[in-house]
Amino acid sequence: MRDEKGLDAKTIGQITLMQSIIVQLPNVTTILEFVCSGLKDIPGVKDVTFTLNLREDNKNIDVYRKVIKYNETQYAIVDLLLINKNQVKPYLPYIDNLYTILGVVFDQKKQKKINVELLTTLESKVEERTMELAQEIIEKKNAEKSLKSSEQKYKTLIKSTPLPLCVVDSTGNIMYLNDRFLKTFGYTLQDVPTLKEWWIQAYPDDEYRSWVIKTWNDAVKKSTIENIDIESVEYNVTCKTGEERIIIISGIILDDGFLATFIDITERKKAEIALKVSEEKFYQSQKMDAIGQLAGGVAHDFNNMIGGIMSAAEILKSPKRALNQENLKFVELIITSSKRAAELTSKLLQFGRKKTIVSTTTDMNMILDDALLILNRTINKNINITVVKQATITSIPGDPADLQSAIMNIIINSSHAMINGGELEISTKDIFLDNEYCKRNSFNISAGNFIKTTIKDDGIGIKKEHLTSIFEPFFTTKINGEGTGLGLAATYGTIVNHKGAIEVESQMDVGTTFHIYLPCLKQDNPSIKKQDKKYRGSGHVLLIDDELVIRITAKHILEEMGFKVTVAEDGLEGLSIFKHENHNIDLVLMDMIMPNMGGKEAFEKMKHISDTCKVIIASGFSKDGELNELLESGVSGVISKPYRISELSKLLHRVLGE
Amino acid sequence: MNKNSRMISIGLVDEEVQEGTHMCLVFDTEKERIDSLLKYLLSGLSENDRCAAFSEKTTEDDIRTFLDNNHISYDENKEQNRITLSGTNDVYFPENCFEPERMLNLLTNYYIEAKDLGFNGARVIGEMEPLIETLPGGERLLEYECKVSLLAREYPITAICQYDANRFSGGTIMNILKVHPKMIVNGSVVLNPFFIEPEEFLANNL
Repeated sequence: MRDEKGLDAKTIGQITLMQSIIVQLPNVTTILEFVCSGLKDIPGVKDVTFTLNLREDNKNIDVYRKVIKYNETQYAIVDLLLINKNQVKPYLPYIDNLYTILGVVFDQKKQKKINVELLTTLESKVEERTMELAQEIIEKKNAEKSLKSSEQKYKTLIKSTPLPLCVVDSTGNIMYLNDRFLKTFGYTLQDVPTLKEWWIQAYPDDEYRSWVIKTWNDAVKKSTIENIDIESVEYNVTCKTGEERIIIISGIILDDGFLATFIDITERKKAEIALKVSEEKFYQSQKMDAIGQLAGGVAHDFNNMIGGIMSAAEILKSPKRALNQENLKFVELIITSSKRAAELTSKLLQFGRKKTIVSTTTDMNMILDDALLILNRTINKNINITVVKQATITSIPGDPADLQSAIMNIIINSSHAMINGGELEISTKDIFLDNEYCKRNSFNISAGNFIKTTIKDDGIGIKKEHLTSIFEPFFTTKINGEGTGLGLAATYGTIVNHKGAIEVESQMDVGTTFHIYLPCLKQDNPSIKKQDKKYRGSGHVLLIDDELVIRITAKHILEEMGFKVTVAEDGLEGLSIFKHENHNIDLVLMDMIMPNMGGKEAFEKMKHISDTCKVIIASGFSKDGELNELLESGVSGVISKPYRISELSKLLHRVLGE
Repeated sequence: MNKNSRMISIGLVDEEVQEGTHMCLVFDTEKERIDSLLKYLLSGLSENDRCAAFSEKTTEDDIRTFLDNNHISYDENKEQNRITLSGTNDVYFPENCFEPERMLNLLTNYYIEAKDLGFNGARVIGEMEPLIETLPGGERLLEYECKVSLLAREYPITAICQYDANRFSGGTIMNILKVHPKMIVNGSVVLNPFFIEPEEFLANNL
């Protein structure tokens, strides 16, 4: 059936079907065979041939030729040998379309072939790679086995090593801690799963931890860059128990993190410090001995010289010399200055341990009580004093006046360190010092029972470099004129004289603590307390002393005992008061050596005003002859400075007959 | 072909075809071959047709697995003569030669038996082997195909002839097209424009 154009539906269907079928055909030849075979049925076509190579045109017959590219470089030629050109003409567009599709199909086939080749190659490569992988897997398994064995060996080695070790990965996770780590620090992997947690636990102080982290990170960085071990650095590590240990930490960089090693040098450090302390104490002891010998020797000679000066001055003062009033004043000045020099020398002698101590039995608690009674109102009111007496045996052999002076010196020093007030703690306790301790100690002490007196303040503290010098004579941090630098030196001498020991520890802005160790009796002597009974009294006392501290302390003591007290700074002022108030004054307590008018002269003039007046002379410089001379001239009593409350109390009781 | 014959599904395309249709399927992949065969048999069982497959490449396990997946027992159906798998060479060339008359008798009897056994009909699917081109009687392949079309008019046995495009020449495939009234192309059963009525073909080519 043909239409007006002469087209037959069946023929068009055949061409169309060929287009569908050729897609399924496998190669160029099959397709062209199929197509040429099909095209033969097209009306007007006599034959269809194809060739994959060019050939000469057939000149004798009409040919509709189509060149179809079937790969990159090759072409197929399809020739329709025509017997009726006009008859085939209407189908040519369809045939051309078929040829176009042929080209497309050839391209598809070519691509398919390429894909197959690629697939084959790929499969081959996959197979090859699979075999390689299989081999690699075998090798890896062998390597893993070997590594596992090696790891086991290293784990055993690390586990049994005597050094604490830990392995940290590159993300900061702690992967392993050995037994020694746990034993040294107490931390388990659960306690410190990460480096960060270790830092927090091991270095609780924020500022120190920051330093540790920076130091460690710098060391790791340097190690990585220079390909060397992580540098050893000393750290103070806080263990799980809270104990602090001194540890040298180093390590090595691993592929994925690092291995840290820890060397505990705590005991070694302690031994080094103990040895250093011991050496320092020894050198300190040697130094103090040398200074003591020097000071004692100088003081002894100086004392003799002063004695000579004073004797000569006394001779000049004799009425036989008939000196005028002006010259007498100069002589008096020589005597006064000489006596002051003698008092100073006395302290030097005390330090140099050349002063003979009055060895009696006294009570440490009472010495403390007396000292505190004297100082309680004189030192800064903002200082809160706490006393804790824990010692059960408080009887000690020694000179109570010297010991009280030693305690007072320390307390005064402490009070000066607490300018704005603070806490002063004084405590006593029993302590037994064994042979080993006594041998290590720089003081010449023997094993036995001691009473340990601790005086602790929270003042400004003493600079570390001053700690070894504070007991040296004339060492003072006070401004010129405020201190002689002999107070603590005398204290040191007193303690050493009593076969005791004194230690000081101090930290700037925290405070200072003095520990005094004095040998005590095996048991208390109850008579001491009876003997040291304090008396109470009444009446009016004129207190004359050029030293402010004495004026204040003595005034306080007397008031505590029940007396009314009037004070004067020297003999002249005292005499003036006495002239006006003598009928109201029951007792005069005055220093022997004072400027303007000394105690002896003042006494003599007071006797002229009232021959019944009762006068007690206090002196730090005692010469038996002079004191006896005073007693013979009517002085009611003499007392050595510094005096204890109990002694003063006893003397007042005797003088006033109360 | 009997005008009262029924419309059946062949499993490969959406549309139904009239029973007794003689179709050609040119395939170029193994998947296309086996899928076509299995789906055709499955649909035949569903239609209560007696089914036969002639194939050298298909195994009973292929069919068993496929039917099992569709909840149908191959062995049971085989036992009931519902389904048969035979080798192409055994069926077409039992004596190493191709005798169209024997094959046509076989198909005729197969259909008659099917009807006698109570099946709705019969269907076959055969994969032709290129071996035929080398065997005695092989040149009668197109004659045979024409006579199948004629046979189906009287005994409406439905048939699909599978040809492997990779194993037959382009000219042979074109010739095969000419003796099959319908083609299965791109998922559709189409009228074959190259088809030449069997009487005409036989008249011009014998």
